Amino acid sequence: MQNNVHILQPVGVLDGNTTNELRNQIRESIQTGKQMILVDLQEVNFMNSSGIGALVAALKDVKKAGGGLFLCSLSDQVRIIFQLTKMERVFKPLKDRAEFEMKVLQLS
Amino acid sequence: MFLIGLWSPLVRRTTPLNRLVPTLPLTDYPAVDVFITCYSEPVEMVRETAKAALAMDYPATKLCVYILDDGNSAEMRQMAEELCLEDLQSPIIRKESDALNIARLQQESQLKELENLNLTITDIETYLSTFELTVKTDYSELTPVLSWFEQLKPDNVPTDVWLECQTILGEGFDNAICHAHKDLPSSTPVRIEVIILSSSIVIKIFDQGPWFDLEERLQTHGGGVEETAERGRGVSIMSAVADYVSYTPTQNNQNCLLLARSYDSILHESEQNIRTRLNSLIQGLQHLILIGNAGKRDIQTFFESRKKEIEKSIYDQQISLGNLARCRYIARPKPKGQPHHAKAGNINYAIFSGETQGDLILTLDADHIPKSHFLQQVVPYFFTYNINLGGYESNQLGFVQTPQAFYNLPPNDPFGHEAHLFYGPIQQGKDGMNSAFYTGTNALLRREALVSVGLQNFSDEFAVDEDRLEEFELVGGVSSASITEDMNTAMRLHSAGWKSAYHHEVLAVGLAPDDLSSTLKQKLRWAQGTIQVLLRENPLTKAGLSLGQRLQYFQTMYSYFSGFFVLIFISCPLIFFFFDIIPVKAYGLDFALYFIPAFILNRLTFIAAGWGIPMKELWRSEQYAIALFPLFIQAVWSVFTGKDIKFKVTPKQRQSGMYLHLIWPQIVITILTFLGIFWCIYRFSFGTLENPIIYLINSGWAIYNVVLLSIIIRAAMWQPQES
Repeated sequence: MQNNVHILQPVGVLDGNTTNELRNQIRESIQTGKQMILVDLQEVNFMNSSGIGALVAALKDVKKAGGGLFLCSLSDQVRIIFQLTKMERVFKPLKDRAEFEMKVLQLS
Repeated sequence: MFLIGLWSPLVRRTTPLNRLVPTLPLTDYPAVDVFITCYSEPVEMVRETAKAALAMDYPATKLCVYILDDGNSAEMRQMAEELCLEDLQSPIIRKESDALNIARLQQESQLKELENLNLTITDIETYLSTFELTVKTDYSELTPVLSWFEQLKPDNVPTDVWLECQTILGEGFDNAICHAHKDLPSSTPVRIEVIILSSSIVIKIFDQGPWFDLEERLQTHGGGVEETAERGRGVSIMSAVADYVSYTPTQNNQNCLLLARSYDSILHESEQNIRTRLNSLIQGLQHLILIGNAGKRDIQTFFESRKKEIEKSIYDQQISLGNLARCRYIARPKPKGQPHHAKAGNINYAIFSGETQGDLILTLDADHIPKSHFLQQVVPYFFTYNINLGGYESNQLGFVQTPQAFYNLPPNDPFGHEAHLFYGPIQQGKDGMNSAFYTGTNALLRREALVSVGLQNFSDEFAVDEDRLEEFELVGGVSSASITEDMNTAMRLHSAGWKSAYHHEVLAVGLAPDDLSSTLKQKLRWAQGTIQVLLRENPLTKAGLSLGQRLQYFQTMYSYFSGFFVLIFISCPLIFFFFDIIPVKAYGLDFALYFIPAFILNRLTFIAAGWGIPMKELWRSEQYAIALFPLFIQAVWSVFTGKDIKFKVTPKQRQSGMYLHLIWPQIVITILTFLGIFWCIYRFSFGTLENPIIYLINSGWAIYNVVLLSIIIRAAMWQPQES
């Protein structure tokens, strides 16, 4: 695995608060030079619009630093809220870590 | 004066109660109390009256007969009880009580059912109660909220729908915490309700923050936000998922965010699934009931209130069942050393004792047997049709008087009881000026009028003497200021603005006293009472009476002063016989010119007024008007000298005997007349008489007077025919 990749795996509920924590973690890893950030949402069983808002903010941070933010393994509820907020077009979530490795890492 | 009294007679026409157009619904008939006042009358007589009163054509549940026994006799009480039992067994009351019993049984079984059902409801409630959750204002509460929601999921709801609902629940909760409760302490509760129906899910979130117009927001921001925006997606998510979104203020300064989402049930045949579906159906039914009964928070309170309603209704039925005992006996306590206020006190006690509550009160003397259509004829007076309301409403009528008639009058009516002149042109004339007289019996009175006027009078009396509080229930209501309580009561009602009516149809017949002693006692009482009222509450100065009413009352009172004029009138020829003093200076043509037209006019008025009344009766009443002059003088004298006057019940049983001693003044006049005439004939035959023609005229006058007086002598000697 390339060393500019950082995989984060939050657990439980991603609301405004917990996603802001996640955003801080992402910001820290960019500052330490990581370019590719993958957030594995497998253990997240619920996400709300505030969570999505914080995630969008994190995406802006990463883009500004010239990196990439990827999401994978969306649980059913998270997929639903992504569809509802049309965020699939913004984040293009991946099916799982394997897809991340195949599509993102090999391409780059 | 007499002519004014008859000036505008009013002949009323009425439609019986059951033939009114539009009809008065049976349930709106006023409750009628019949008060039969008695003192020492024979039990059998009262029994007949009470029986006839019970048999009147009126709904059984609206009629109650009270025997007000001022004599407090054991036999009367026993008779009332027997009559009550007899009445309860009559077919009409049987029918009524059966109907009440059936209604009561039905409701009792309803109550039982409800109690049983309530147990089931309690079970269901505990089973369904997990559908409500209250949490604090804290982000960390989201997790428990979500896991609580998760375990509610029934099998028949598709998972994606369920997750969508979970999503909007999360959004709603987030809104409550981040926006609504932004400035409120974290202890502020957020209440969540989830209702799972068989084809939709309803989520309600109650917050306590400031309200805002969500609808407007949806319209302006409905299309959502920019893809890169960090906030503001919540509302669009909710409107995208839910079929219906609303945010409305509720009671206790709360707002309710309501989210409804429909779904197509997935049918599994599992037992679990059937149960869930059943639950949804029950929930739906519960909500249907609650929607129809605004103000009930949950089904339990709804059932409680319904139960109370039924219990109240059963109680009412029991009361009405008790009220079917339509013949009651009231004997008021009569403590020694306190004024009892006679008949007025008797009636007032019944009004205020709390046992009677009819809207209308029919007062009957113990011997006055009402006809069956009495109430049908008289009750309609108390209602006026209001076109605006489309129904009948109470009017300002205080009482309706009907005539007094007698069934025991001896042939020729020697005591002059027939009163077609009074209960006819005179009452109709009074009625024309809204001053029909209440004569104490055969009249229907409005309780409200009696009580309100009685209370006003009581407060006036109380202001003067606070000790009168002791007598409150005896003096409020029917006037007790005079021994003729009836006339005074009517006058008070009139002065308080209540109207009256005279119904010209005999609806009750009674007994007239058939001996001279009782007749004279009765007439003396009337005379004394009337003059008493004049002194205590002069109609000419009493506030609130109209001019017509003042004249009507005054005319009746003033007529009792005629005794003095009659005395002069009768004495004139006698004085002339013995002392040759001519009472009228200008005898002859001049006198005739004035006297004859006046006399003829007087006759004509009398005949016109008495049209249709037998001449015999008119003559009789004129005879009595003259012949009772000593009694009228006695009455005026006794009242003005302040002698103690007691109400004496007129005995209705014959007091046998000769009563010549009661009418000694009339006898003396008669004897003097004959002596005078003989004395003149004696003088004439000896040629010592000047102007014999004047003596002849005077003799004619005197004989006319004696003929008038003769009635009372006949009455005194009258004996009933042996049968």
